[in-house]
Amino acid sequence: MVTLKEKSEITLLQRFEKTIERWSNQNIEEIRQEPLDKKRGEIEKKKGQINLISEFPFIGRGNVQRENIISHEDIEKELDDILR
Amino acid sequence: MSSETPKNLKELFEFYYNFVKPLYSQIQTQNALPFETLFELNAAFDHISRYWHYQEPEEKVVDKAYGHLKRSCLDIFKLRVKEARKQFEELKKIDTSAIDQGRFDSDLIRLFTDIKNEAKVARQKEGEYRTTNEQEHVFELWLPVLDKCVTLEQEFYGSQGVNWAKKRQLNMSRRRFAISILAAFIGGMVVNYIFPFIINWLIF
Repeated sequence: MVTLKEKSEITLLQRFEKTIERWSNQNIEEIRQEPLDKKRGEIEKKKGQINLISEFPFIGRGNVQRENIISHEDIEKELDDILR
Repeated sequence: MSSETPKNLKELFEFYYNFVKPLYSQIQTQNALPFETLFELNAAFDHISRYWHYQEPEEKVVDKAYGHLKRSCLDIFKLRVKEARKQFEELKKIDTSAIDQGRFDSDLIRLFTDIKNEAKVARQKEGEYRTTNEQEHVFELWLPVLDKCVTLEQEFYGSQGVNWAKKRQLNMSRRRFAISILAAFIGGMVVNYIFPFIINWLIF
């Protein structure tokens, strides 16, 4: 728990970094330096393909076709079929 | 890092590395990535590109891109509250009254109430007039909410005491089930064999 005095001395950014480190169990600089695609690759190795979900209407705007998301592989497969 | 709204690309990318990337990185690990978040990042990228491709003024593209990046952060804060609520609802289904002599339940309820109340205030204030310290103003309100959501996840939802309570509840329900099967068996035996015997004995 951060006291009022401590709060004024610690910046918003520092408090944010502490929270992220607590949440992720990782050093904040490691998180910043690691490329996102590399991080995604590691997650996919452990948990499988990352699921894309829609959180509309909780967040986001309404002008998006959520049902029509397809993967890289599906696109390549469709193209293969067209070009055969 | 300046706490003011970014005015140039350097400051914009400072904001990205300081706040956006850590949040995005963490939401990615949960293996349920909202594509609304991806769209905000993509929109920011597009605005930035216009600085070079269409020679739009730097301050203008930064302002637009910042709006999208800030939106993505605020969305992630809100999703964290949603996740905290889900965890709270799951915990309510478990008998945790024996954990920490009852303090677990009261602390959990207090924490979740704080999360809800502070999130309400933060959300209301989002739409207020932009000041030069707008970034700090909005994030200053959401950061304690995020912090409490992390506390709920780590100190309550993921606590050893909850695992113990879940196992205890499971064992008790298995025991109740076994007793009900046994009682049904004994009841069946009584009805099928003992009652007819008694009735026959009474009649004859």
